[in-house]
Amino acid sequence: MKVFSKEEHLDTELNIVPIIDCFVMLICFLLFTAAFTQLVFLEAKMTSNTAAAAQKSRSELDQFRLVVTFEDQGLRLATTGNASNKLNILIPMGKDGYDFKALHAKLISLKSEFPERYSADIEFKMKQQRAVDYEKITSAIDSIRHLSDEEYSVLRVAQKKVKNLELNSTEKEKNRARGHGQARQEPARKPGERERGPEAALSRRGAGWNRITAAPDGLG
Amino acid sequence: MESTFKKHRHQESNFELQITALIDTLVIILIFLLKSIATDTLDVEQGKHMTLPMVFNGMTTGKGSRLDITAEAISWNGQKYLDLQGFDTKKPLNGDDGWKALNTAMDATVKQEQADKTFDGKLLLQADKKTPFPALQEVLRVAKSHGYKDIRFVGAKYN
Repeated sequence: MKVFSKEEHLDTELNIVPIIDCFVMLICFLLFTAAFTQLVFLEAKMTSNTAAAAQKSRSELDQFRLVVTFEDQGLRLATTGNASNKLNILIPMGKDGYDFKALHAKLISLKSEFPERYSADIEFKMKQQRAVDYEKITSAIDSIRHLSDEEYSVLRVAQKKVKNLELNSTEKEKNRARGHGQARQEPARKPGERERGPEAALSRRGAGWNRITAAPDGLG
Repeated sequence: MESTFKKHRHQESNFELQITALIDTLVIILIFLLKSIATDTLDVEQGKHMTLPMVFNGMTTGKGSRLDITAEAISWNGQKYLDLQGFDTKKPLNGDDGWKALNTAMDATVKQEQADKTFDGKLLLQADKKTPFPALQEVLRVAKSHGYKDIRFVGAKYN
């Protein structure tokens, strides 16, 4: 009978070759399947020229209509309707063409005045039509649709003016905890950190001018 | 002769492969890859030979028929129908046949989706960022005539 002594050395060896094989295969698989570019889309409805559709939207448009127009001189921002103060401003071309940052700033201040309006129309009235390309159209929709972007962080201040913002229960609770109405120093955020609190609710929901209508066929 | 053999055996027994550093590196690469994979990408393949514009925000989930515009071609759901030269949609290289084929393909898609009751008028438009407005206008007019009214402009998200 063989008796194992306590001091007997157990010679074990961990065979990690299979796991390395697995790792290598997994990395190859991930490299082939990885999507390093994240595709996103910006939605815009086409203008509808049917009488029924026109009638349907008339009541809202009679009150307030926001139109961003591509013109040869720049971007024109105009509001019409009973509920709006008539606005008609031209945002001139910047160094690199259309000034979407200025447009964004104007739209944020406009949104603080009309927080419950969401519709915006984009129109195109240029003689030099080739001056506008797909990139400019997406930039316009991007700057209209969302009021809070990392690159526009300096403009976030304007969002705090937004009134009558519909908050969910968690946000209301946070608002109460923060003591609304009291002047309070906002703690400095670290770079990349998301904005918190009720004033950020607008940006989290993407509640900019998010009902966008485009009129590329000139019917608008 | 016998002494030489013993010497060799002794050397082999001391051989040890140090692979800890290799495993460390592999694990780090693995974590990097897992982190960089976009888990909620749009359910659409990026079109070939095109540079998409960068956008800061946008929706990440959605479906629709896919229309691609590059300097050389217009494709519908991945199938090329028009051969272009420098985005010139007025004079496609394959003439009017290209437009007819595109119209027929769009019509077939719409009819098929209407029969399946899945048609919702949503169109995923992917175009090269330099696609001029007149080319977009022409293509969107055709899409609109087939009932596509919700245009989804696809772009690449800034990270």
